[in-house]
Amino acid sequence: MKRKFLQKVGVAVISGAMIMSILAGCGNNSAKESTTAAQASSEGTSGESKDDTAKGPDYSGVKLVYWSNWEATEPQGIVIAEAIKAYEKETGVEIEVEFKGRKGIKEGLIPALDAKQQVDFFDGQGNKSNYGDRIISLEDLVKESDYESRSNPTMMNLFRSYNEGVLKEIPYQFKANAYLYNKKLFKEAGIDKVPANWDEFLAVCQKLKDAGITPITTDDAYVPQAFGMHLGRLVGSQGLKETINNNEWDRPEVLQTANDLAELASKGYFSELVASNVFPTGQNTEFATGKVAMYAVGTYVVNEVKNITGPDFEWGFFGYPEVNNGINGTEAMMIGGQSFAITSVCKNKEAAFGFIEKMTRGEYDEKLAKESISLPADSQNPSWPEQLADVKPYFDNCTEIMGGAESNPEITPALKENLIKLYSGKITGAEFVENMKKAAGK
Amino acid sequence: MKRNKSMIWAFTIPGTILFLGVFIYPIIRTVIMSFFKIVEITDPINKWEFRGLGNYVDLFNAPLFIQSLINIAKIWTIGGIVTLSISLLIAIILTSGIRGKGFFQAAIYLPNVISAVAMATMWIQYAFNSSYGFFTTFFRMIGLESLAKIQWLDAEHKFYALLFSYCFGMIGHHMLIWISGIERISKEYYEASGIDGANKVQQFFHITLPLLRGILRTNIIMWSISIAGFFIWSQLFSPLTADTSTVVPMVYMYTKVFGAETADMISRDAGAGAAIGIILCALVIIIFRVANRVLKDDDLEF
Repeated sequence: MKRKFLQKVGVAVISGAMIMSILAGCGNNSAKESTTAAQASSEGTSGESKDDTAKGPDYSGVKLVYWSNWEATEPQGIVIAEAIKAYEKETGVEIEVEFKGRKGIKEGLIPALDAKQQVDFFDGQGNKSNYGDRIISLEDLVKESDYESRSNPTMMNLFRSYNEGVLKEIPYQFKANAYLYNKKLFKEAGIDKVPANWDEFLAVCQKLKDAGITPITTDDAYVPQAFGMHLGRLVGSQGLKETINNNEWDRPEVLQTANDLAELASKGYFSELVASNVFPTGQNTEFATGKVAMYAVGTYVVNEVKNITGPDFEWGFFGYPEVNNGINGTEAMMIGGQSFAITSVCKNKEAAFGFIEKMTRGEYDEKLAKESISLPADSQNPSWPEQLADVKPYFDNCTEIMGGAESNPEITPALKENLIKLYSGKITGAEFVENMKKAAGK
Repeated sequence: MKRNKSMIWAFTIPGTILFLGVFIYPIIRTVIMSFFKIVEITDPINKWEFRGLGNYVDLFNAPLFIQSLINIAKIWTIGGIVTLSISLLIAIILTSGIRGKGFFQAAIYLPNVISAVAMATMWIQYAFNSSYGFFTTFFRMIGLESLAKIQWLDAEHKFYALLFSYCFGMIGHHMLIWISGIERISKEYYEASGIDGANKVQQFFHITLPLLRGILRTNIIMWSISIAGFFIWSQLFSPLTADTSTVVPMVYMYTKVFGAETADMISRDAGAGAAIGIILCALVIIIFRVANRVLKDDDLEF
C-alpha cells in the first residue's frame, strides 16, 4: 500500500515538475526582457537627477510601462528615448519603454491588455477606435492642463471623431497628403507658381513634359491617394466615404474623376513605369532620384527617402488643386497623424499624460519634427522642418478633413488595380467605372 | 521485464497535457469562434455573438475572398505541376551519377536557406524591375526590345512573376524529397531491366515513377501545406494593401483579423478570420485524403 502511495506521489511530482519547467521556460523570457528594459532606462538616469533644477511634479516611485510603435533605431524612437530620460530626471518617474514596432502594436497590444499585462500608455497609428474601453477618455486631463490651447483644432476634431466625440487619443507626428514636388525640376521647366486649380495643374504638367521631365509617378500602394483627393473635391468628405463604402461607382463624379485622371495618362504625364511600380520603387527610384517631378502622397515620404535624396533635394508641396465643378478647395485636406493613448489599467494617468505632453509640446515636439522630418503637434512651435515649410499655410488653413479612398478594404485591391490601369492608359474612364461596378458585384 | 506502468504515465502525462493545451484546445476554440461574431481575438466569451454559418456565408459572398481562393488554386495547380515536375527532373539528373552532385544539390537548395523577404526583394528589385532589373537589361542586351519592354510587375504579369519566383525557391526543397525516394530504389531493378533491353526512358516510366508514388504523395501534401500558408510572398509583392492578382486567403485573413492599413476605418473581425482558418484547414485535409486514396503505394514492396 505504502509503496503504491509513494509511487503515485512520485508520478505526480515528476509530471508536475516537467510541466512547470516547460511553462516556466515560456514565462521567464518576457519577465527577463522587461527587467532589462527597466534597468536600461534607470541606468540612464541614476546619479544625474540630484543636481537637476528644472523639476516637474514629483512622481518618484511611480513606474510606467510604455509600448511604442516605433523601432528604437528610427529617428522617432531615438527622440522618444531622449524625452523619457529627461522626463524621468524631472519627475522621478520610471518609464519602461518597449519599442514594439508597428506590427507589435497592431497584433500584440490588445491580446497583451486582455491578458492583464501591464501597459500604461502607448502610441501608434491614429484611430484607436477598436480599443474600446481598453483606453480611457483624456478630456479631464486635457482640460486640467489647458493642453488644447496649443493644439490644431481641426486635428483635435478629427481625433475626437474616431471615438464618438470623446478625446481618447492625443495626436502627434502629423502628416498631410497632397502633391509633393521637386522644386529644382519645376524651376528647370520655368514654373514659378504652384497650380491652384485643375487647369493650372494640367498646364504645369505640360510645361514639365515640354522640358523633357516626367511630371508624375506613383506606386501601387499609394495609387488611391490622388483619386481619393480628386473625388473628394467633387463630392466632399462625407460623399467620398459614402461612395467608397457603399460602392456607389455609378455616381457621375466618379466618372468625372476617372476621366480627369485618364486625361493625365493620355497626355503622357505619368511615368511609363507607373504600371509596374511596386512600393517603394516609384518613390525611391523615380521621385527621390529626381527623375520625376511630382508624387501624390503623404509628407512622411520626405523622411523615408532622405538617404536617397540627400540634403540638396528641394522639397515642395501644394494642396490638391481645385477641380472643375468641385464643392471644396484646399481648405479640405487629407491630414492625420499618429497618436498616444492611455490604457484603462494605467497606474498613474497624470504621470503618463505628463510624458505625452512632454513629447507633443515645446522642445521634444520640435526635436521630433526636426529629426523625423514631420509636422509638429504644438501650434506654437515656430520652427517647421524646412523641407516641409510649404505645408504650413495649407495645414493652418485646413478646416475640413477628407478621408482617403481606402476606407473599404474589400474593394481597395480592385480600386488599386483599375487605377493603375487607368494611369497607364490601358483603360478609359468609362471602363474604370464598369470594372469597379463589376468588382463590387453590382 | 515488468513494466512500471506508473512511470509510463509519469512521462506521458506532461506531453499529453501540453499537446491538448497547445494544439487541441486552439483548434476546438477556432472552430467554435468561426460561428461567432468576434471583434478581437482575445475578446471574452460574453462579448461573442452567435451567428451560425453567417461568417462562412459572408466569406463566400465576398468577391475578394473568392478571388483569393482562385489565386491560391492557381498557385497550387500551376505552381505544383511546374515545381514538382522540374524538381523531379533535376532529382533524376542528379541521381544519374553526374559529377558535382553535391555542389548542384546545394546550389539548387540554397534559396530555401535565404529568408523569403530577402528573396522576394531580390526578385522585385533586381529581376523584375522595369528600368534596371535583370530581365529588362538582359533582353535589351540581346536586342529583344519587345521582351525588354514588358513590365513584369504590372497587373497582367504580376501573378506569374510571383508564381515564378516562388517556385524557383521551392524546387530545391522538393528535389531533396525526390532524391531521397530515388536513392531508396535498388540498383538491381535497373540492371535487370537493362539486361532485358530497357532504355533510360522506359526505366523511368516503368520502374522509377511507379516506385515513387509514395514520394509523390509526400510531395503533394508538403506542397499543399506550404501553399495553404502562402503569405509573405504575397505581402511583399503587394506591400501595404493587397492586390487582386496576388491576394491569397492568409493575406485576406490577416486584413480581417488585424484591420487594413488605413486610419479611415478600423474594422477587425476575428470570427471571420477563424472561419478562413477552418476553410484552409478543411482544404488541406481534403487534399490529404484524396492524395492518400489515389496514390496508394501499399500494394508495392521493394
